[in-house]
Amino acid sequence: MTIDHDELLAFLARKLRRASLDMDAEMGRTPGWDSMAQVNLILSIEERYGVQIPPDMFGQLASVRAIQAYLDEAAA
Amino acid sequence: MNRTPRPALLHQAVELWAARTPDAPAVDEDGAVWTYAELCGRMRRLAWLLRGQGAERNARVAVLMDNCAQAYAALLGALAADACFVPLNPAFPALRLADVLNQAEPAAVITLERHLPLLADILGQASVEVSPLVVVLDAEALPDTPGLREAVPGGRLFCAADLARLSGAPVPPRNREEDLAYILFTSGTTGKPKGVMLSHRAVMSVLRWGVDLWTIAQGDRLANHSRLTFDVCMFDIFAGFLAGATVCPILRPADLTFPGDFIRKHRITVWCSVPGVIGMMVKSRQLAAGPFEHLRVALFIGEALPAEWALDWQRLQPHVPIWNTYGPTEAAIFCTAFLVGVDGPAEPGKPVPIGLPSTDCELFVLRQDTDEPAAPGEVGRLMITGTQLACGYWRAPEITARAFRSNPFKHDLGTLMYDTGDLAMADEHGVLTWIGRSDSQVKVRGYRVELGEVESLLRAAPEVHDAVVLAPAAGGELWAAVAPEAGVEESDTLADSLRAFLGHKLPGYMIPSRFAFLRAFPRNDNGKVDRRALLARLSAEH
Repeated sequence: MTIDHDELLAFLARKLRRASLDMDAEMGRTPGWDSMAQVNLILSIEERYGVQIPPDMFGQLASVRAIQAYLDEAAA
Repeated sequence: MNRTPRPALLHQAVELWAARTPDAPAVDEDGAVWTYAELCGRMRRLAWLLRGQGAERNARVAVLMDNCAQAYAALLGALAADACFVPLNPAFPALRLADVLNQAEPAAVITLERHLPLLADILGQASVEVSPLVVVLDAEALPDTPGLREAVPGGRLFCAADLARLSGAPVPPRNREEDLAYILFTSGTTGKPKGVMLSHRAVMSVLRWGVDLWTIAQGDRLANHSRLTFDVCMFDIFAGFLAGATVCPILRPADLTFPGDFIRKHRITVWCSVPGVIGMMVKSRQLAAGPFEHLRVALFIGEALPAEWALDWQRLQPHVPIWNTYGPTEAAIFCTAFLVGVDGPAEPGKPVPIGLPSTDCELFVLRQDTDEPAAPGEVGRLMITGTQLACGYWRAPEITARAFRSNPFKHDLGTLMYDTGDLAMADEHGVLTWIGRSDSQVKVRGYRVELGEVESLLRAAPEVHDAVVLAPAAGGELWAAVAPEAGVEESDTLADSLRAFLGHKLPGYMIPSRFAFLRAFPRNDNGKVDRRALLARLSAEH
């Protein structure tokens, strides 16, 4: 499986109720993306992409780039 | 094992432990350890600098920093100089921090080099009466930040090299236990933050109670999760120092949100935070990833503890006692405690009780319509009296008089009674249960939010005709229902624009996570917005 990055961006924007997101968006610096949204976002990523994210990774997936890199690696 | 000292002033505990156990670890900042001797030396030098610049009893010293060892030295240095400290969160908008400085009129601001651009911005927006000296704890030479030299006249800017030249000799105290230790600014109904004033005596009272109840001692390691602007932070820091223990500030945002790994890696023995952290650790499976081997006390405060989370904790960390505690900032951190499973069970669908009062406080429930005591099991207004009470609100005698009333009952513990605005009930044994609020104040991640403050600012946005802000669940998020001006298009772009508008004035936790656009709000018979119906409608659409 390969990750469609545009589709990933659209998915994250929808989950965070943002009109759009760019690659530099990160938790704490993006309105609507705070610690409360973070955990739900990751759980929805697990569901959407069929991955099981280890507990110690939850805090590290705090930017679009980190999420994309993680999913790319998981798909490789 | 040394006995816990009983100093009158908060910072004196550090002096005592520096004399008894100078090489013991006072702060562990991600592996970088400061001993009590080092912390004490930094405290003294900063105090001498502030005193040399005229600091006096009850002068205000603003501390613009995140939680870290340097911040602890700043708080202690302010106290040792006889002043009180006013924490400023660097994550808050400059305009809001300027509001706080305008009210507090600090004699000094203590900060770090990385926050200087923000400080220049704050001072640029503050009133001309605000003219503090500035101490940059980590700058070896005087910084040349644009805008800062204009805001801080010559000779009023100090750096680490200035501190290094000063004496590390003890600073004889001139203040007394009734003097102010800190002022915490919280959300106010009028749209401006209001400052709660706490004395050394009030804070020391709760620290002694907590250190005794939870047997905090040398060898303990207390995580410092709450930010400096949240009074729970004062327990982490000052209970740790009172007991000669080690305080471990959480630095990384990821550890703040999902602290399970931090608790394990740093061998934390005492944890204190808002209960939302349990929910995060359950969802991220951190709570189920094995026992917290060193943890022996878990305290939760700041918002209601759902029974389901308490039961999750008991199931996944059965060896760690979980305490539900309660306390408004106006009564110094916490003033009740309930040991789940021992003082009573956590029952699904019911609120976990907040327990019995601390040693120096008395709490009682008055009927909702009169000042008569409520019967056991009857919901009423929760009042607090005792040594832990705040000295009132900073330069706000009218709201102080409304909240701190004459105590019509027993005067064993104090002549004043604080009306918490909380609804509660007591059982026949006096065990209290928090029921809700009697006004529109809510808690978001432990922070106090007056919904009216967010609404009034939202209504000031040019695209907005009317706005209502709702809190759909305890401790969670805020929703905004917005009626746009005619001709304004309802869209995610408008929501982003309103978030940005609010972000110039409000801290992140006060900004609604969801915006719903309606042309009209449901109203009740007397024309007021029917918040219950509005919430039901938004929940159905969610």
